[in-house]
Amino acid sequence: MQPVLECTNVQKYYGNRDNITKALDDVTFMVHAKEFVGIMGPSGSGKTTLLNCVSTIDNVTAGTIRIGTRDITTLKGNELSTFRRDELGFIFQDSNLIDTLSAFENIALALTIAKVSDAEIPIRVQGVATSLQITEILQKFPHQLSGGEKQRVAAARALITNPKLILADEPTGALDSKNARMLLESFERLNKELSATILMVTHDPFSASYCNRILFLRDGKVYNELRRSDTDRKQFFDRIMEVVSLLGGDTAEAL
Amino acid sequence: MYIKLATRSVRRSLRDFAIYFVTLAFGACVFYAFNSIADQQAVLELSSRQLEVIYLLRNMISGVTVFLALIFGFLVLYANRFLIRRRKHEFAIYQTLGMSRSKISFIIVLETLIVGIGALAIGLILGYLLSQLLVIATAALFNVRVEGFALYFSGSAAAVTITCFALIFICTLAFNVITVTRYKLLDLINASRVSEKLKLRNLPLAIILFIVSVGMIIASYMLLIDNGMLNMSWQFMAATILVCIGTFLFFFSLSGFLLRLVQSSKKIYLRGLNMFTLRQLSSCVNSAFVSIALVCLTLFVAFTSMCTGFATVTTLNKNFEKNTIYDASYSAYYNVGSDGLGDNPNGISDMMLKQASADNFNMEQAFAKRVQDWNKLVSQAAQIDFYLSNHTLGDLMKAMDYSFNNVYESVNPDGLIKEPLYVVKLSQFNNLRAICGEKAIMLASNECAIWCDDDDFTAFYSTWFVEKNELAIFNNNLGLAKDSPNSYTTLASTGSAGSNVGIIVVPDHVISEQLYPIRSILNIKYNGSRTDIDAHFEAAVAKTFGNAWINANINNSNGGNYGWPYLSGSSAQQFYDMSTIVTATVTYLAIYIGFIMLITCAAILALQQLTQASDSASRYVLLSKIGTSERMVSGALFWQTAVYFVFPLVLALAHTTIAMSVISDVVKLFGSLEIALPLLITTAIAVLVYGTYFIFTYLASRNFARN
Ligand SMILES: Nc1ncnc2c1ncn2[C@@H]1O[C@H](COP(=O)(O)OP(=O)(O)O)[C@@H](O)[C@H]1O
Ligand SMILES: [Mg+2]
Repeated sequence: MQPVLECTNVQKYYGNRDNITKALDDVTFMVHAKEFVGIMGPSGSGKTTLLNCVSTIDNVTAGTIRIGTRDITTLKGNELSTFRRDELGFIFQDSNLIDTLSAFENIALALTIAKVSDAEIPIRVQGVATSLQITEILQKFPHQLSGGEKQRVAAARALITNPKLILADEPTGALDSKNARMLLESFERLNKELSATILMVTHDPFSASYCNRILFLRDGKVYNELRRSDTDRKQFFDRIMEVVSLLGGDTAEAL
Repeated sequence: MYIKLATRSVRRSLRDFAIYFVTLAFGACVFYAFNSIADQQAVLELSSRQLEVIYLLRNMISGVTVFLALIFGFLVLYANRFLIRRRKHEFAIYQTLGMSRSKISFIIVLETLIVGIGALAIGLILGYLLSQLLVIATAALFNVRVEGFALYFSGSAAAVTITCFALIFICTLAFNVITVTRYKLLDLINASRVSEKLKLRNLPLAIILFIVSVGMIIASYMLLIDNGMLNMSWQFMAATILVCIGTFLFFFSLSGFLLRLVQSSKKIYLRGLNMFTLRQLSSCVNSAFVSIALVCLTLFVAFTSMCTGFATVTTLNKNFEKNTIYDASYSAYYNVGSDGLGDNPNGISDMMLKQASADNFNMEQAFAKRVQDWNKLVSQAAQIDFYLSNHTLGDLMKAMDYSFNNVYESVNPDGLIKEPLYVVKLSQFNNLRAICGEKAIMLASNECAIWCDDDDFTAFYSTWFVEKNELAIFNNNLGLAKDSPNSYTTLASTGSAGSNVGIIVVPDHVISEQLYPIRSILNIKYNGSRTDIDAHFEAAVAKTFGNAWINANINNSNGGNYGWPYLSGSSAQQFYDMSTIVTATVTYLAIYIGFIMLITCAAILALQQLTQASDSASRYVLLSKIGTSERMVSGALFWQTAVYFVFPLVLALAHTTIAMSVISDVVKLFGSLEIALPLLITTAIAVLVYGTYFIFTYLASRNFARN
């Protein structure tokens, strides 16, 4: 089967000739449809850089990234924004809702910029809102919402266009454990019930334990890979912890 | 190091808010150029009369400059407050790095000085160039030569400009230092985190308020139209208050109203970035509605001044030819008594009788006898005698139960009622028409004609003849001549167009030989071109009578003339001079006032838009991350900026149109006012200046969104 995301020998360098940071150093991996993949690694290991490259917000120094059948490293200008709009969904650490728009409007925005017909929009927003349990708060504004609610609204916005791939950068980073759990359960449900393909960056082993598969990054390289297979979440969490302590660095210290 | 810090932050705000600094420089440029007008005499050959005009203009411009400097000062303070507030976070960093408040204040002082002096210097250079253009304009207006290519510099104008700027920037400095020393470090640090609380308004309330505001504005229009501009009645006060409150309320509720309006149509609301644009607009308008309303009212004042100015000039110049067919006109009043005043209101005074009957009441004969070379200077002359009829306007109005319902009646109802009805002889009237190149008219022995160049009064006489068929003049019942126009508009004397409220032209036999006229007018055509003869003519008459235009020998007990053959006169050249004076003064003032006010208003709106665009940078980043195309964002910004600029403009133009239609009614007393073209010119200038600001604001905010 064709993978949804295929990164081949991706390299990303920052800086000039004298002072090069290899943020990504020959990264190769695939994500298949209906997978929920986590990316873990200590701070500065290149997680955000990888996500930015995949999401076309940043461009790679070398290598190819395919999403579906297209090599996104060759996209330019308007193709890029159209591609992001139609194929990808984003959830960021600090939710990134537009503060002047209500929750409903924030979600609907993803559809209006894609020129979806106005009759269809309210129905679709209601649909995602129901599955993310946010129908009650649709008329509220971001400053009236809790962190967890904001993240679920952001998730709804990412999901509503039925993207091939949902990208999340430390979505639980700013949440307390209760809200984090609710959001992760939503992700799990989206993945299982709506067959969404999710690529989530996190440095928190608890969050990672909701994934099907984990890629560990270190110094810009893929260092290890864990599959959940049929184990339950608790066992998976323990296995992640083992790798994390091997990996060392601040992730381990943070725990 | 402080200088480096200061220049760096100045450079950064220069890049982001270039439009404001350009406005500052423009302001200095215009202040200098207009204040330099008085020194144009340095390079222009001006007559003494033209010099007087220049001095008059200088005085008016100095007065206006004070007023404009206040408005401009407001802009600078306002903009400054904006720019300082945005930098709270930066100041906090300086303070946490251990910089003392006095050092921070010093940096601010430096920055303010750099900006002020920079703008002033550039403005003065531009003003120097502009003033050379104004010289050419003045030369064209006065029809004089520019002496060579001599460039000139006006020290006094530079001094005025520098003083204005110094005062404005000293206020700004004081304000800045006070603001910065008052900031608490904690507030400063939190400044960037506390996102500005969005002022969300109750939407149904916004709709009600919007309707109320529109109602108030319409009510004020109706009050004003009903009341006119001359009566300082309660209606006028109410209209003024209503239009101010209405304008404030309009902008207070506008964004809520627009939001609700657009939300009611899902098709529009859920399309592209419309909802985002509307919310952006709301937050901008809601937090700045007071200044937007002030901008709108200032624009209104600017437009009205410009429009009235241009209207005066257009009207004056348009009617000039028609109004000065005669090269000179003289009036004699037969009721002038021994004191030189009208002691005998309805009859002829003994002194005048003695003087005038010696010349058979013939003014030209009297002049020719007394003034040297009269026959060489004058080619044509026509005298027309005015006789009191047996009616006043009040009699006729009462007989018809007629009411004018216009400004005449409201200004001076008593004068209108007591105004006598004059009659003139057909033969003399036809002589006048002959000079004007108009065809002679014919009257049967029981007919008369109306001589009047005011529409309201023409309508009045027409109504009389429709209702009563005839008018009794000295026991002759006269009907209106068949096939004649409602009135003849032949010019009565030079410069008097539009002021003839009605004279009855009757066949000669109706006026008995025994009757003395109450007043005579002699209209003269020179024997040659006006420019050649006028000065000689004036000198010749003045030689005999002391002053060519006001008889100076009225009550001279030895051989005084008691106002024969004239009491006063006027020449076409005088009107020409006056119209150049008015044209020059009014045009310069209108452009000066209009331009400064316009750029001030446009700069305030531009600043507000730019600040919002830069504050919204993160929102635009997000839009782009979720895949909004650049074109869509640009489109949204374009509409947002357009709506923001257009609403104050349109409302101000609406206010202006109503005010102008009322003003033109007032000016009708002195001749009809052309307002269509001036309104068009004003709108064109407004759209040009304002449009330029709009385009640059749009481009600059698009840059913010792109970064
Ligand atoms: N814009 C940039 N310019 C230079 N170096 C960068 C930039 N962004 C990231 N880096 C460097 O790349 C490396 C990876 O960063 P990042 O992807 O943000 O790590 P993570 O998200 O895993 O904490 C770090 O060493 C960081 O300093
Ligand atoms: Mg990161």
